[in-house]
Amino acid sequence: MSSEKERLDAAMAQVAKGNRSALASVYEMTSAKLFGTILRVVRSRERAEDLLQDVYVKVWRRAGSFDRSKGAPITWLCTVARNTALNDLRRAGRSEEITDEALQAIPDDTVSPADDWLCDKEDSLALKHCLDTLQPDHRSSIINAYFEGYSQSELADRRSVPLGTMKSWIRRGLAGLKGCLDG
Amino acid sequence: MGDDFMAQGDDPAVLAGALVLGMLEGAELTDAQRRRLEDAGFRNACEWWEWRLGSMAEAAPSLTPSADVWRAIEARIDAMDASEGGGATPLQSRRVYDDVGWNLGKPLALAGLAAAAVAAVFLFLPQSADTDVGTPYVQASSSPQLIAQLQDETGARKLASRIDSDRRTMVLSITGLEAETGQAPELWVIPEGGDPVSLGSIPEQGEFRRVISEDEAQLLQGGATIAVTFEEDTGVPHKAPTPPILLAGPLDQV
Repeated sequence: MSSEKERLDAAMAQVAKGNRSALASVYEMTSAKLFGTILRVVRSRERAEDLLQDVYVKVWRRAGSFDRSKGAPITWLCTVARNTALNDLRRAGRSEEITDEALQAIPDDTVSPADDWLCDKEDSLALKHCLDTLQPDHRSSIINAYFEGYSQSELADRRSVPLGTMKSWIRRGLAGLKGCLDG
Repeated sequence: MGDDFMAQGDDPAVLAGALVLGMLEGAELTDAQRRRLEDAGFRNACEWWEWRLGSMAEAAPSLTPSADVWRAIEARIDAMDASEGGGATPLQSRRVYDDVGWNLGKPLALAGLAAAAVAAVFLFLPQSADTDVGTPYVQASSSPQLIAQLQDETGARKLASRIDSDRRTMVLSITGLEAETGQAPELWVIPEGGDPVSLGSIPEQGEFRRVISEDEAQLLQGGATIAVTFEEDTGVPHKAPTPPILLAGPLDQV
């Protein structure tokens, strides 16, 4: 384990004990990743920063429920961030402030590309490998649902396919993914 | 029906994956959420997907938020701590934005829209000035409220809840939860990605108000699910809900 991962592990353990400076460390190490996750779903910087606040308040309150034996802290944090963004999306709808093209074009000159240190590489590589084994339509549908928070009907509209076809793609993609990850 | 996500004989784990992906809608979403409450195997499958797919979230682009975000988080936690210590300090959750010239109109307008959508049937929503987007954000009653509005298919059983986890209060409005002799309605919270936790017995009818503990407040967050079952009337909270789930639905922050 890298020293940075160990540092995040240690900080999360301290946050669970109510250590505020440890929360600052967790924020410093992970906020850019979580902000990117949220922004990709809600497509509004202002709204994403608002939700980012909610995420770290949740982390402060719920760090005690994080179980390191189940996975990496960054995976848990990203899941909290994504679920928070998805819940807000379902409640208030999607902003149109940032388009797909604009999202791709946002410069990222303030974050080291070495953010990878946060991830459990084995898990990420296994998932990437298994996604690569899926048919392109199945793979892209799952990725769009995950990153953009699109529902099945939104995905069908975006791809101009019947809803039943989209459900079939997702179903077969998930079945393939599960089989591969289990294998 | 040909458009059903799952066909008979399909692996339920695939439905769990679709639920975790967040792509289900309507009756399929409700059914999957209900199944997550009732079926431990399905719940485990959901957790499996959350951890597996979670490593995909790590691949999201990293973008630096403004420095104001951390100051706002600190302010919110300070306010929570003060509220816990003195019990009277209002939560100024996003006041820092005001201090640095942020546009408060949008978040307040969103909160107002969400409140308006449920106000017709949710009589105890706060009648604050939050919908007035021109008003400075200094309302003492402006701490985040969590609401859930649950109803069964016939409309006979209903539960509306309002939770202020910062002030540690929960208010329920209950209709039609008459239980058989020896049983009592029990309230559950299912945190995102977690197992159901009992919040104890609740009345069969009427308005019910109680203080919530710190542990309960940690579970009662936006995105958690609230559910009701009938359980044996033992006077103590049960470890797991007994199917069928009578009512279930998400907690939304407004």
